[in-house]
Amino acid sequence: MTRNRIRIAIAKGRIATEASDLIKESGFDLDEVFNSRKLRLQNKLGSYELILLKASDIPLYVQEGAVDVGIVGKDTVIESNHLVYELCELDMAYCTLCLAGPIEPVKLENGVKVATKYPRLAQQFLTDRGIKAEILSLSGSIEIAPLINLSDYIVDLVQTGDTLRENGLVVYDTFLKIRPLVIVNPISYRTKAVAVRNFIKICERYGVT
Amino acid sequence: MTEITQFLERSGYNQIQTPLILNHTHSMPFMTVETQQKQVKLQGLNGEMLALRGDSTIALILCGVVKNIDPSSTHRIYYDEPNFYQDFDKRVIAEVRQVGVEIISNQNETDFVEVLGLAIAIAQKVCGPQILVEISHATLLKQVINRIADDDAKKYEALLYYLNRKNTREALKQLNDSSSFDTVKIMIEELLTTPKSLDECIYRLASLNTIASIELIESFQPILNWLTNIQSEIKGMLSEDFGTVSMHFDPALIIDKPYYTGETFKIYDTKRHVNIITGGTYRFDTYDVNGCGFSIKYD
Repeated sequence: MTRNRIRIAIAKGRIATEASDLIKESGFDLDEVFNSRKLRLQNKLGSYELILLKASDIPLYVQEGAVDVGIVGKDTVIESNHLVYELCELDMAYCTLCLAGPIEPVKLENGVKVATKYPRLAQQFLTDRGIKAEILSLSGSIEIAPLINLSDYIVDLVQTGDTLRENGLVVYDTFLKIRPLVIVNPISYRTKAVAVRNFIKICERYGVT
Repeated sequence: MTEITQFLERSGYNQIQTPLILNHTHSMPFMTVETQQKQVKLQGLNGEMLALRGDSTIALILCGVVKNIDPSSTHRIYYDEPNFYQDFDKRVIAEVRQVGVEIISNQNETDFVEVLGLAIAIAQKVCGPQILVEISHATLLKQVINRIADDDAKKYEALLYYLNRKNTREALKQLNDSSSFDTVKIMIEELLTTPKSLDECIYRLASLNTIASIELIESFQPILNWLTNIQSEIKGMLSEDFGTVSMHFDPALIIDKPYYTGETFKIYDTKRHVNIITGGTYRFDTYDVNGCGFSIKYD
């Protein structure tokens, strides 16, 4: 990558879809981005290279400098704890990190079992409330855990709440509003300053005010 | 690296070797929690927790090389050896070979500018003229943040976390109840989040300090005083020995070594987009040792 050209990674799925206007404004052909099988795409001016990655991988790619800028959920950035700069928060793909459980819940107290894909965030959430919980780290289908007595509660991202309702779960507390963050490699921030800041200016037009 | 070690020898630095294996319990207080976790640990014959050398400066202090130094003298030393750590992302024990330089004494004076000059000279030998130098002062920054946080430990930790990540939005959220919100907001947005040249920093800090003095905020005065002093020393050093060097100040420069208690610096190769040298001044109270040093990694 030259000083004037940066590599950008966007999380596949909902964030990439909702960021389509931003992708278009950055000079990419949306048809090529969403309908081709290309893994690396150039914008019209040749100033940006775009790659679509699994969300959980993006903070590592950015920290290591394999990509200069990443767009990924705040939950993923906090959970990964990689050293990246968080320069902008986008006003899209909104969801909330919640504590949920069965309609008749176990008392929320020390020793309670909580299943989650976000062990670091869940720990922080419960510690802030003075509760020493047993955190069970899972990789998916979290809603099933309290239904088959693996856990008493779950900490998970909620968009509409439909999945929780369909599984007989209720939100008991909300913790963190999650939106995509634009994260930057600390060295690229310095050595590719102009290109990075030009892209951040585009992102800020879609940013939270 | 031979060219560099020869250069160090010519500059009056003597080679030493630090121990490969350290007592982990003794080295822990000088490391962040993350660095402690990355240590390659071993169990000693008597059940004690040992670790492979992960930081040559700590190894140097713990091994007692500087234990009985002459109070009136200063030691100029260098090492050329590997450090080891667990790379959890790549799931390997990583070996990083590096040349390190230290000036140590048990006097309070440490020669930051001499060490910085040496680091710039080495960086230019390795990368050519295209380097970017950033300096900061870890202790002053923490003092400023503590004042902004009104001595509230939780707010202090949150501010430090977000400033280190240049997340202005979240940092400002921590200040919602601050009586001097507007001035502090300007200070954070204008200064703490973007590295700037030394001249520009001093100009901006002086302007902000005028506003701050009206609101009786003295937070930034220590940084302004330090920057003004260091700027003139660095300018003298650069004009004597070097060509044009991009020199920036970034208060939130992150150096992951808690024993750095004063000035710190990082040098970047702007052509290859890598950080090549990290260094700074330190004090080990337990061992009554002051020093200033840096290291450069190589394959």
